[in-house]
Amino acid sequence: MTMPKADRVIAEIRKLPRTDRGDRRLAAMLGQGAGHFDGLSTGDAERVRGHILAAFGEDRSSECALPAIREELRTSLSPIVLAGAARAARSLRAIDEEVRGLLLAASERIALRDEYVRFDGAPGQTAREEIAAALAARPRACCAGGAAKAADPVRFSLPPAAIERAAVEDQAGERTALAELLRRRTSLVAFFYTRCMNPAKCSLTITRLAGIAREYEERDLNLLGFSYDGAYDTPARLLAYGRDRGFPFGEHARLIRCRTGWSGVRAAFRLRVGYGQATVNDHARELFLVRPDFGAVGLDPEALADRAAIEAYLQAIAA
Amino acid sequence: MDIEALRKQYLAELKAETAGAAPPATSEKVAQYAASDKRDDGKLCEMLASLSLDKENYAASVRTLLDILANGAIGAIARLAALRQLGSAEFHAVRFAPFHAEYIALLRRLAQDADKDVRAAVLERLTLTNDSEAQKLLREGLENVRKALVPAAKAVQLLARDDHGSGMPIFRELAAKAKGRVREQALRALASDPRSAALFERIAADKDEKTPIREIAALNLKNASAPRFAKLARKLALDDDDDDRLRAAAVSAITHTGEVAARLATSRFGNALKSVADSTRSRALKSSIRRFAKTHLG
Amino acid sequence: MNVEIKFPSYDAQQRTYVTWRPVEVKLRLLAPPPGVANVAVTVSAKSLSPGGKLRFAKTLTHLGTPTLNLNLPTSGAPVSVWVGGEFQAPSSKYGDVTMEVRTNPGNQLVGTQPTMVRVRKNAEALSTFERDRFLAALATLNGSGSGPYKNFRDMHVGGAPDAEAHGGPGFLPWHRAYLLDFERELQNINAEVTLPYWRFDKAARNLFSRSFIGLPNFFGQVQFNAGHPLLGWVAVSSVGIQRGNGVGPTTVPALNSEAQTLQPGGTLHPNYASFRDMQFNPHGSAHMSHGGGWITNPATAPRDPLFYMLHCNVDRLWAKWQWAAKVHNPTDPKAFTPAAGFPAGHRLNDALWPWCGPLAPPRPTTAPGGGLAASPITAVPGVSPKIRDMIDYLGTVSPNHQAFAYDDVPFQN
Repeated sequence: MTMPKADRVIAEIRKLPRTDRGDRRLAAMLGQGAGHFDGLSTGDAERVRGHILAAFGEDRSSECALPAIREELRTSLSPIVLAGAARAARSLRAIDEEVRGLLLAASERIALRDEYVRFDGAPGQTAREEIAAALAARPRACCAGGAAKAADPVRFSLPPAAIERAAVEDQAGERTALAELLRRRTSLVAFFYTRCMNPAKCSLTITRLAGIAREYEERDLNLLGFSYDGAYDTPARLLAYGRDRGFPFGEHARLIRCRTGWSGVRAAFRLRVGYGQATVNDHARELFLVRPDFGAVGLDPEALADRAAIEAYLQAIAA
Repeated sequence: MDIEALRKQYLAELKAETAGAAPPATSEKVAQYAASDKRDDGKLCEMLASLSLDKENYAASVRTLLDILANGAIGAIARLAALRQLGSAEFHAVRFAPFHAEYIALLRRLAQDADKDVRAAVLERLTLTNDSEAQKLLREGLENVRKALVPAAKAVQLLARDDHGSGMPIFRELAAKAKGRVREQALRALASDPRSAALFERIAADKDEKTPIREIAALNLKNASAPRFAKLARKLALDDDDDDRLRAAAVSAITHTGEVAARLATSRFGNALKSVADSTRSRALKSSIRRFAKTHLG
Repeated sequence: MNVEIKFPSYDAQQRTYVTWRPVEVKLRLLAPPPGVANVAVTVSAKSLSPGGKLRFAKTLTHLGTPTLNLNLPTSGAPVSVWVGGEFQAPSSKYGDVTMEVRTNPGNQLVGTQPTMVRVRKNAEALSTFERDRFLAALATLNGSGSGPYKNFRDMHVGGAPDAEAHGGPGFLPWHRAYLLDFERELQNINAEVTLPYWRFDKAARNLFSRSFIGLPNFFGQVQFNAGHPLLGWVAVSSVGIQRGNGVGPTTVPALNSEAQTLQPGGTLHPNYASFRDMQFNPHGSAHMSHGGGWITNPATAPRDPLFYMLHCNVDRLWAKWQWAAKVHNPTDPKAFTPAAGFPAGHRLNDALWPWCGPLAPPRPTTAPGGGLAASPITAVPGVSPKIRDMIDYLGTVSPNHQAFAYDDVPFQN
């Protein structure tokens, strides 16, 4: 009997040594676009992700997983992912106030749909019990210092060839070259897809982007919601999704999908998105500022709720 | 009309109907009866149906229901009645929250219960919330990795509920190769698959296929690609040699799908449809065309 | 000489609609005869058969009469008359009843205003015309690619949104707002449509047929007649409807009857706190009576159009209890639960989500769909209703009504 892919990946995770090298390998496995997530259902992708995170929680410090722990605690609805994140959090040098708050919020988020989770075959605890255990955990005595600081924004240049090859279409069916759209002015680009199951991700992203678009109507800034799921997200679906979230469509504010060249765009933005057999199976929340010369900076997605942060990013990218 | 007299009369009617009615069953009595040697499953079902889920009795009632559902010694008919009542209890998510983890764990275990009706009902519930363990069991049944827990057509239908699932390759294969109900369900399961648009076009246009299958393919195409459906639906609607049921479905789908109607609602198409309405003997087609004209041509 | 008849509000087609709840209509003489101070007129209604009927009074009351004599000043000053539908005589289409003003004596017709007594009816009793009109609007709303069917990924995913809808005493007001929003979306497509209710404690042979809400096959796939508007129904990303076989044309579901819901053990529920336990039986039991399919789970139930008719009956039962117990005043402690002890979203003065917009965690952070749909006929409950706004839907004690009523629940002040 062939072992299903998700089970195979989980078996590999269990075999990874708890060494610095093993931890780096585990951290690399968290990328949603990594090959071991390819083709999995969202449920299986969550199971694998939960196991990767839980593996950090065994014996050693998991500082290198901190960004992923934070993000999952902030957005995930999956009991197994949150239980894994809670296990990983338990092995942080210290659970600071931010992570403590995120743990509490995550527990509240799944309060109505808690489940038992199993990481090692044995009947386990529920996800909320795992979170409670993390909250009760004592700081690791061996290590000093607080939690790692959030990483600085990543600056990079979008490869012109990939951007030039991409053709996009907006919610009104207007087709254009992505390069041309981006060259018009600086663009705030948020990725999303209409079939996203998690309101704390794409729905919230577009709701927040709509708020910025309304406030920045007079500014010379493109506000673009860019679909991960171009084959499904037709103009009509983009239009309905934006309309339901108060998105002020116009010359500067559009929801777009790729008609051609998506794999190049995905690589150019280094998107952390994975695909199952039908659609996206998991993704990070991803937000970028792109200058007309294709210079780009990856932003903390929470910046969408923080005008001061957006302004600071805009000044920085202009400089 | 004297509304106050009507109100008094209504209150009297309520009183007459409910006075002396048996009080709801208590969880203690149900639990006792379920454990007794003289238990009759039909009677137990009646007791379960009247089990109180009021605030004061909620926790004890849910506990009793979980115990009965889990008890393989009790007849399936009563266990299924307990499952239905648990479903009612689930509609108050906040009160149900303390039981949720245990409930899901129990359902996952019962997905492989000895009784086929219990298995089917449990898989039915688990797949409504895209439970990945239930999906795994169903997928393995379809791939012959394990003995199938439900008939293949049902397994396809249940797996297809999750549009973030991993069944698409199986559905594509079954839609191409399977027969009968399994093929029908597999075709339905592809509804959101943009890659299957060509398959839908081919099946919907193939007069050798059965009408229900062509109808599913045509309506799937509407979901997968409105522009391609518009072309197909126009052709179907105006083809006097085609099946009237299918033509009526096409006209109805054009009428009620804004994106498609926007492409086809012209006076030229309207006139062509009017000719069809004048000549066809199908009442369904006539009525679909009338609805189209009323909605889009004033 | 003419009489201007001015209803409080009209839609874009200059049509006006009434329910059982009378509205204040202003009558004014145009081009009056010279030399007299007043002109005596009689107000009445002319109905088609079948058609709606109207009642008239000089004040807001349920005691209106089929005709009313008035004196209209020749100065052109307006005179008020309260106009409402005659209970148990609803319309089936616009203009099947017309308000008339005639001189008295003389019987000369000097003013007319067609209208419709538009109320929610038992789905089982709809005429073929009413049924098809409803189904067509339903299918068009579904095919618009927007509205409630696209939003419930955010609204019914379990967790915070579920707690808003089902997590406390706000259950009934929340669903009343949800249904009203939905009905108004339908009325934007066809203003004559109202939401019918599935009376789930009775057999419903007409409703559970292939020509109405469909019949499931062995696999729980709902089947329709040829050309049925709902054949192309899309929910989330699938086509068609999945519903279990638990309820057929002759099935009487095993759940609390209307009498048992309102008056268990022979005593009318004394307050909302005890009435709201109907959330389980009959509400939850009605969902579960189908045995399987989307309607049996809160996260998926709105994918089945039957869901809206099921909840319409839940709301009707609440409305009927409100009438039977005479509790319409939001400040009456019997009309809702006291504020203490319930989570946000379930207290009398709380704004209802999602119409109030995104909230801070632990409440939902997104609010797809925007505010509650507006009605051209009434300004209430507004785009962001509070729980208290959803209690006196009929304007029994408050000055406004929400322009919906049930065929078997009268207005009584």
